[in-house]
Amino acid sequence: MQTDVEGKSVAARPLATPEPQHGRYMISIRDLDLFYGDFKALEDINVDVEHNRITAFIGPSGCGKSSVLRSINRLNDLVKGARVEGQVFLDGEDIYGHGYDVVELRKRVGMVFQRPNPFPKSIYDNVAYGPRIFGVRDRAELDQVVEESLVRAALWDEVKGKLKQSAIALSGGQQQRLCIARVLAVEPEGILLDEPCAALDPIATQRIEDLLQELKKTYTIVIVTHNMQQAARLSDYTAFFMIENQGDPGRIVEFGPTNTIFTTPEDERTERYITGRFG
Amino acid sequence: MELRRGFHEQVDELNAELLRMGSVVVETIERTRQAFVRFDKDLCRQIVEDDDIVDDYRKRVEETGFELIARQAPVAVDLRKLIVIMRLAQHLERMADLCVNVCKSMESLDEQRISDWIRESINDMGVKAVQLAEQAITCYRTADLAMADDLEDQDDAIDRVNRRFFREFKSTGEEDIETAIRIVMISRFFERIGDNAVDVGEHVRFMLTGSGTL
Repeated sequence: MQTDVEGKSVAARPLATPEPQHGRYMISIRDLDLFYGDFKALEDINVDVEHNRITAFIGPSGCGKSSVLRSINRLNDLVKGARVEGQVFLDGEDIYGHGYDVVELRKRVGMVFQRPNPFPKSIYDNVAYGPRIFGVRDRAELDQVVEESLVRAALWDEVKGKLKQSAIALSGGQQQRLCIARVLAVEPEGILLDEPCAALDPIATQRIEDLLQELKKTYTIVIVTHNMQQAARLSDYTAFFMIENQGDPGRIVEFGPTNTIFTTPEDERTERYITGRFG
Repeated sequence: MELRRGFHEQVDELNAELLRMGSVVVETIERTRQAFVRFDKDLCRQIVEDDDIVDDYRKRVEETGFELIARQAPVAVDLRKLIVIMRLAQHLERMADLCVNVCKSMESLDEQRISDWIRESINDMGVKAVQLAEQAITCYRTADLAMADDLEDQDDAIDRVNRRFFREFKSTGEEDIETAIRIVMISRFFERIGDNAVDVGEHVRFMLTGSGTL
């Protein structure tokens, strides 16, 4: 018997449940395979992402963690030759289903990347960018959205006096929080983060981690991280990815409560990876 | 590719230190048994003096374990092993302390008042305590879960002898009160050594499986 993040006993979650449970989980990935041309990059990916929890993807480089993350808001659509089989349900609806609105999808599930990528615009315009695209024109309303988003991203106090200054002048950590504010401005339900702290120093990293802990009260978060300790500190659930042999597709070896993964993993390969016996 | 090799070597070294401590403690229990059977008060004093060696072992093991946890952030089997090594060091130290208690209790005992059945019974307990301590260390060293679980059954034998003293003293009434009390205490100290061995077995179970008592 395993326990969930609140310590309640739950049956060990099989990697492939036949029917996704849409109430508890915001995102359910079912039997996902991903191809880049002829190359199969991912195979048989099954993950349930619980509402208002942080789910971490860990594993060696090149094992497909980011590809799965990108498939959740269909960023792989933009890659030539990329093809997805299987299903990704967002609140019960298959985002790869016919006629699914990708713009709406990316509004509901925002993405933050490894390198902070603010637009070469003012701090204000960065945050207001999304709402403007979605038709917000009223100045007072925009002001309010910008302030609220920056407050939620724990950046407001540092930038409130210089909203018209270029975002490029901010420090790396501030830029990353600005990118999070930019995502929050369009009122998403989920936030995907692809190694958001890889380019940041330890203090800036800690700020982002604190921020994510705060944000999970309102949002559902999925994070890809190379830093296993970050996954251990931050996440409620952890999925461990690996490729068995060179050229094989990436698979999920083990998925469960982070507490279990880092104290008593079930799969020996997970144990060997997290204890640094292979990498 | 083996990563974190330096860290795993440090864990291996700590493990070796704990095993050295274990052999010192087993030897201490055996010497304590001999001291009682031969009623050798010089040996008793030596055992009391040598207890510092065991205390130093425990201190070194705990300090190193603490430092490794702080600096290496171990997880999963590494974390369980480090925690268990530190716990085992405490139990081993406690076993040696109980030997000291036996030796100190002998100081004011009069050999003439120790009847043969008492000497034999305490000897039996001493033999069993040595076996239990050895088995506890071996199950840890060889990661043998069945051997760890077996400790509790083995410990029953020592408990039975311990209970026998109460019965015998009550029924025969031969010994004077002070001798009876001291012998019951000595019996109890050996019995506690067995309990510590059982605890070691439970920690080994936790280390190997992640379940049970930490």
